[in-house]
Amino acid sequence: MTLGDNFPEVLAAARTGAEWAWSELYRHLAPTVLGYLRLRGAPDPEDTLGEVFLQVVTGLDKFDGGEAEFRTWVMSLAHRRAIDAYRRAARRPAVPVGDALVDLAGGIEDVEAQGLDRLQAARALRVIRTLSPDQQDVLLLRLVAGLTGEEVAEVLGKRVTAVKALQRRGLAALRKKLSDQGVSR
Amino acid sequence: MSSPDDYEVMRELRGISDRDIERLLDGEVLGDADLDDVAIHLRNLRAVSAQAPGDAVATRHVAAVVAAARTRAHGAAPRGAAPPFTPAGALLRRVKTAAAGVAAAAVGLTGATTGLAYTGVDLPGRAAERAVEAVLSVELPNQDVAENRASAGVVADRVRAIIAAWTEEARGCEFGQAVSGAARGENEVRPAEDPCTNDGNTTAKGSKATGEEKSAAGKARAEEARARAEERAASGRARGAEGRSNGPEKSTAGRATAEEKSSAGRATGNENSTGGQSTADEKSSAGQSNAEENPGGDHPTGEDRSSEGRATAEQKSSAAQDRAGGSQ
Repeated sequence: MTLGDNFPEVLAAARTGAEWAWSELYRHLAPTVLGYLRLRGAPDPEDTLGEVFLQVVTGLDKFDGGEAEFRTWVMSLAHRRAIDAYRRAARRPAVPVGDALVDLAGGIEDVEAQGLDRLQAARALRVIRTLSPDQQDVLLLRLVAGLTGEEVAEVLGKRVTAVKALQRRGLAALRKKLSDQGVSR
Repeated sequence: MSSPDDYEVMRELRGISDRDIERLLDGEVLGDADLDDVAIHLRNLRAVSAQAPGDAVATRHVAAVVAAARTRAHGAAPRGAAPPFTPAGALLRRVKTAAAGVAAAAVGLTGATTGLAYTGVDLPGRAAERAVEAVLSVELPNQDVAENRASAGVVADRVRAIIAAWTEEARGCEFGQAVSGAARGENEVRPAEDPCTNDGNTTAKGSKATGEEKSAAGKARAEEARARAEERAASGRARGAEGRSNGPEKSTAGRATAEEKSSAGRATGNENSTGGQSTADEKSSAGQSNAEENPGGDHPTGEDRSSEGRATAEQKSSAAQDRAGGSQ
């Protein structure tokens, strides 16, 4: 879901503090940002989402670009806020995978109610959580945020070739582990 | 650095192009059973990952963002805008609450200390009083500094006097008790239980000496003191008797010495008189010879000098006779 041709107008109105413009931006971007924060294991994803949008307000004067660039910029803010949230929560126990899965699948215990799709999504997330942090970042930004390899490289501050290597290695590990789980089932 | 497991994993995707990787990430089925399974899992993950926040959360967030944007756009928050809940706002509120707590504690502590100082309660040292005075810029009553300083000076002088009165060798338990008592402000050291009675190596408290032992020790010291007093008294009497017996002898010796000195004085006077006469004769003859050698000169004549010499000699002779008579 994109704003398309309306994006420049929405952005200009948002700069003046127009509520409708911010509601549009929030409606379009918040689900993706919140999904990334949740799957990445941010300690308090909704609070972190609010911080991300406040940071958008702060940096909006300096932003220059189209909708794709805007989305990439917002996701880079979300990525940094997630890392900050990890550091703040360094003394607390890490968010268990199960909590994120419960958020994601709405309760994976009730298999029939959730359906096979949600169960598979939960399995995929469980496997992704076993990957290295860089591989997790690349796969989640690509899958959840829908960014391209180049955009992911920009968010993470890495070269495109490095991002491609990370995503290839992460997918290979994902395939092997899902295959192993299928054999063990 | 890749581990052997990484190498094995990577080998599984060796034949897959970058384009197929992109299709896999998009959830497209490629015709390979394992890869199709991966594609389906990823597609389902993507489908459920994007979740809109709850309405209440969304409303709060949007309100906060709009308020912040308007503040930045117009330089001030719009009137009537409800203070929205924001994570940053929550953090700010927490900081403000903590700061208010610290400030309240500081004010309360200062107030309590000031109250104690005003009521004249003996605060621990002058530091608290000075702190309160510095903070409030007031002079606290009931804190007589001059009196305190004078009292401290008296105690210090008393301690110094005790230290000076005891020699280095004599300092022991009693000395320590005296200093301690003076430092405490006691005029006299009167401990309820003398701590220096236990062989000098332990304090009174905790001593295992019994009352009888202490009593015996006290009696022994009393006997010893009495014996020393009697000894001193006897010594004093002996010195008195000796002085009386020596008196007449010393009187006789004194008189003998006086007579000896008198006769010696007379002898010296006579000798001086004789000496003076001979000197006058010598000077007279010398003057006559000078006159003969230097007749009509500007200098005094030999006769003048001769007569002066005789007059001087006679004066000295009479003075010597006077001294000799005086010494008799």
